[in-house]
Amino acid sequence: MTLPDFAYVRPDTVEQALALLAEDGAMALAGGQSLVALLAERQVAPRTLVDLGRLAELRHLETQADCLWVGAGVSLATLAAAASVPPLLREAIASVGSPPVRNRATLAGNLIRANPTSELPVAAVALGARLVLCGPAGRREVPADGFFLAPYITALVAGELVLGVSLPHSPAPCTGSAFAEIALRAGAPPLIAVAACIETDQTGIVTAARLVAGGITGVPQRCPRAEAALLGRPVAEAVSALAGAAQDRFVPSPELEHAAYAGEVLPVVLRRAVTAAAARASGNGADSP
Amino acid sequence: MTQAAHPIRLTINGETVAWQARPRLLLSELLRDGLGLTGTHVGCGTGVCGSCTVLLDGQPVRACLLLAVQADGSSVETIESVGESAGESAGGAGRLHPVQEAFQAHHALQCGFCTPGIVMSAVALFRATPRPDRAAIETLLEGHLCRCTGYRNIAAALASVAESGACGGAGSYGASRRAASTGEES
Amino acid sequence: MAAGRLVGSPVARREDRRLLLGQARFVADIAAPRMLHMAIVRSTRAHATLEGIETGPALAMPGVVRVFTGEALGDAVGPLPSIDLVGDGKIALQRALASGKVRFVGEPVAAVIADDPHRAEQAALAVSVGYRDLPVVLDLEAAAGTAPPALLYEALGSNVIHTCRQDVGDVEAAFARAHRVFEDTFRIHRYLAAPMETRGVLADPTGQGERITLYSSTQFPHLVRGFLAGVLGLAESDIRVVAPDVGGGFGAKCEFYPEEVLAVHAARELRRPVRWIESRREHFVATTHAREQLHRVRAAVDEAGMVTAVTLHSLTSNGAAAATLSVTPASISSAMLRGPYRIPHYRARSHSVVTNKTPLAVYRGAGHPQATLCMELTMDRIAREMGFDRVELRRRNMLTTADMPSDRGTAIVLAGKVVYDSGDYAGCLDRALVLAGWPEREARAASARARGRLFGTGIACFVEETAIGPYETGHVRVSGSGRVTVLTGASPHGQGTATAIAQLVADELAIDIDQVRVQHGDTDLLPDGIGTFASRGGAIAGAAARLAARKVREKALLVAGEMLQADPGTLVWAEGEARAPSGASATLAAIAARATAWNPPVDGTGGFNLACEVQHQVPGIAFANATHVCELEIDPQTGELDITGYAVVHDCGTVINPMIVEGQVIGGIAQGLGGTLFEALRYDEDGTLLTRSFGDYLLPTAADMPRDIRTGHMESPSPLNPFGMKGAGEGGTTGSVAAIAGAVADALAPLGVRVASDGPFTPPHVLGLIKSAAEPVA
Repeated sequence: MTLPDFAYVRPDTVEQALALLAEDGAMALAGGQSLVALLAERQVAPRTLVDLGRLAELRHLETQADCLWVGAGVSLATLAAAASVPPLLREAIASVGSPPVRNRATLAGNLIRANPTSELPVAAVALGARLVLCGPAGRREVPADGFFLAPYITALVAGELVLGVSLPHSPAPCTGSAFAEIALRAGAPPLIAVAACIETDQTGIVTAARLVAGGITGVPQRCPRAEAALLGRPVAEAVSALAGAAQDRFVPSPELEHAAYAGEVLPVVLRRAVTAAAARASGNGADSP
Repeated sequence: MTQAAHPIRLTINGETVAWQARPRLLLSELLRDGLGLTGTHVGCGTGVCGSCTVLLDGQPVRACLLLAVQADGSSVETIESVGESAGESAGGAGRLHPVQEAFQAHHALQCGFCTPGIVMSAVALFRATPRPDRAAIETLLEGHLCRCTGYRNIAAALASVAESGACGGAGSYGASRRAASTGEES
Repeated sequence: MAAGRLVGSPVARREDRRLLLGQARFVADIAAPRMLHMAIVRSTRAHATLEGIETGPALAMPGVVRVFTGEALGDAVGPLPSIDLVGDGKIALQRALASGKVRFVGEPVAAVIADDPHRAEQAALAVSVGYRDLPVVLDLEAAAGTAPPALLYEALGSNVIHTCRQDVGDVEAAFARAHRVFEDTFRIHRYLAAPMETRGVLADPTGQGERITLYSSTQFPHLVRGFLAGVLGLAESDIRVVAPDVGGGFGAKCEFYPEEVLAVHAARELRRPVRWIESRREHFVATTHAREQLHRVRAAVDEAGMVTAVTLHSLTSNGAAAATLSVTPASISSAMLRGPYRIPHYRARSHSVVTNKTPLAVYRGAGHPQATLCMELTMDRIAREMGFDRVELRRRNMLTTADMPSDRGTAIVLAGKVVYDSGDYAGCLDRALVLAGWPEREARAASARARGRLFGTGIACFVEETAIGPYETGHVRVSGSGRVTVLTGASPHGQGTATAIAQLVADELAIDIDQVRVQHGDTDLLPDGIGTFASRGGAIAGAAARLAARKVREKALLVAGEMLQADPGTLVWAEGEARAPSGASATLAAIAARATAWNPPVDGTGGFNLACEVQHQVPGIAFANATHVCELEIDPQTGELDITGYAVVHDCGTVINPMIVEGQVIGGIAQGLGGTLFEALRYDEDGTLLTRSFGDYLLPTAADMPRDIRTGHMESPSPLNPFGMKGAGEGGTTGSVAAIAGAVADALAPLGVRVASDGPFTPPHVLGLIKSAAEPVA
């Protein structure tokens, strides 16, 4: 199918972009891997596409004192190849699309799309990511676990764009993270995706655990009971701690075809993710997938 | 609704092309309908099948998911730039790229519709890594659907090129054909 | 003729070079001057009367030239034929555009012609169609029952458009004396062929009076020509159909479609070329679907485990109209259910049923995958419940080579009687088991269980119809340069038939393969042909071509006799030339030059030119066979499935090119795997198809293929083919569907789960099966 007609503008600055996005029927175009497919299927009909793809301000990928800053225009391929990318994110990115798609797709674009079964929102919440938004009312920061409101719906309001994502460095001496998922087919969007980030002190006691599941409630879901079961325990006992704890149970989203299945197998996938994350955390202290 | 054409300038298979591109014009349409470069095929239009894969500034991308205006200022390489067709009159004896040769030797194509896309991904891979490992080949194949072959021969063909290292080094096939592309984001 | 240098060798394909260089010409790559573009307005309702089509706004849009509706076409355009359907059911034929009623979401309702594709699509969106909804018929059993929710064709009085009957022996008596009776109802789901290239047509009025050329992504250009002539009331001689490069077909393109009719009709009226390229989204509703059937199988077994009788009651969900090949799935599955097993008594009643879905036709295997699944799962169940070894049970029941030829007492529509010509089924089974490491499977099973996994193996033994008739044409001509041109009625779309035919002809003429050029797919080049489907390209087109080459050689010897002043009987043909005892010789090129009409005729050669044509008529179906063995593990906590081993031994008679045959087997396995593990078409309750892209409809990727597929082959030449050849194109799919489903059934049987379907065995589905077995019976 041909695409519907629309106007196209290429702003030189974020400020210009915001002014253009404030207009009726304007949509932002970054990597285009979601948007152009939607246009091809005639599922969206913007009046104007505002091309953010060349804004230098959005292309920064830099290690800052307390975080890795991922500009909204940085491709997933570039991000995955960066030395300072959190291993969890690199692992999650490898499951998204395919290499040609990853050459154009962006982290911000994927998070804005908020596909309820996508791996990146889950990873973002597990990493404690913060999205920096910019709009008519100015700049604001939204933590990832407050950004996803419902399937395909985020806290981004009309006229706003994402400047970038800030991924905080972990302060803990030892960290381990892992991703686990079940999909209908190799490389297909998962039915359930679980990210586990575990931090320990020098003696191997778990000081922080972020366990996040996607595909059940329609948004990335923290697993508080599982997390509580790990805290304060030796990381070597993480799996048995998990097994002995009360299970997190969530209401499956009626919008997701396999949400009930995802809820059923959550304990198994959690165990897989925690097993791998714990092993990495208690390895030589280095976090290496 | 304005659909005013935007003037764009890009390099396609080494030649500069100036075009008045309507915003909705896809790179796949520009290549196929505008320039008659029909070797790039559209199998799904949503970026999944990989038949439309071309190289943009040296990197594999889906031509069906790229607006032509987004490719302004970039260099595009399509299957028509890979291998040399000397024409039937010369007995069709032009040199094939090692990937193309390997595909024929290993029966890695049947109907040929998905083939150019895979060849383009492979050309990029072998430029970056003359001897990629099995995992790298598997990652490449994540991005391509084939309905005919069952993939085994495709993987074998790519593995044979990797083993031979035919795409590496100054004296190899690739050296004289390498496009002036940086492969980095500009 | 001695065994060939080329036949039997893995010769690299001649087709590849231009495909690899991006020089292929699929329909979408072909343009014509002043070309117009067609877009189809498709029904958004599954079952409704048409209450008016408003075309005014569309016609007013820039660049729009014409809008056709069914009413406007009227009777000038006849219904699209179904060549395997006889009887009252013929009322259920599809029209090029809906008239009065729509019967499936996606049915063409109007055709818009504009000067560019975008304008055509925009205008199509502006056509408004009025519908008055009728009850939707989706469920197969409800559709076929005595009180269906609605009748798709009221005048028929039923939704059953055809019933295939197979009757062999005396099933009543056999069941009466049976030791045990087994019954299962097998559910086969709906999926589709999904070639990488969607369909497309370009109709080009050539400016030569009434003649028109249609380029179409089709598997049978000659048949399309015939259908067009009939539907549009044209002379066949005024129609040229060209199948250019075609990007896969798998049975979905040996169908005659409305768009072929509409493009030709529009091009003739407007006197301009008209092109239509199907989008992938369109393809899911506009191109034929596959498989969906229900089979109730009863088997009578004696104490020794001999299956004495089987009955089949079967329903096929044919969709909203009878496709070109509509009865074939029901016919093949009912004719071939017993596979390689003797089972002397058999009765089948196999109903083709219309439903409010896209029309359903054939897809690689065409009825064999479903039938083989039913038979093999039944055999495994018999073995399990009666305590027999499942391999022994199969061997015991198998026909042997001493039984060949074996008249099975059934018949397949269009193709003829089922008489197995040759095959060593037990030998094939034995070899496959060796390849699969069958004796050592217990150790692998124990290892799987130790890791908390379920372990299962599936065995699929089957016999399949191939190389069907009625005939194929081969024309071989030698030019004065010594180059040999072969024209074939085959219409390959990936099978490498041109290379295979070149091997056959080059061997026959003892010349280099590069001297041979094979052309196909153009009804003007070769006026008479059939096409490529039902695994007939290599075997039948190959036979026709080789026989024609043989006649050329014989003619060449006669001409050479005259040239060399020797008795043709004393001449030897070798290395592309005729050699006399005297030592004198004449090359093929020289003989061809001598044979032209520039020179006096040579007695007894039957005419000028070194060219011969053969129509090879097929005396009977050639039956190939194979055994597939699949091993897999299932995680009982998640339902995840992992194929850990796969072996196949196949027998397609004399092999022309083992590399090509292997490619067909592996490619076929991928499609069977996809259909059984994750491919599925899904409809909502209103009859709207939900799976409309490769994001929803998952095709197998490289990562899904078993790491190590072990293959072996046997050759049981067919006495029905002059060179012993059978077909090889479809067995990979038939065997893999049954072997994978069988392995799932085997893995879950110890849990009390009885698998009686073809999946897809997705993790949620498998987990559901496991959990339902664990629930106590109320």
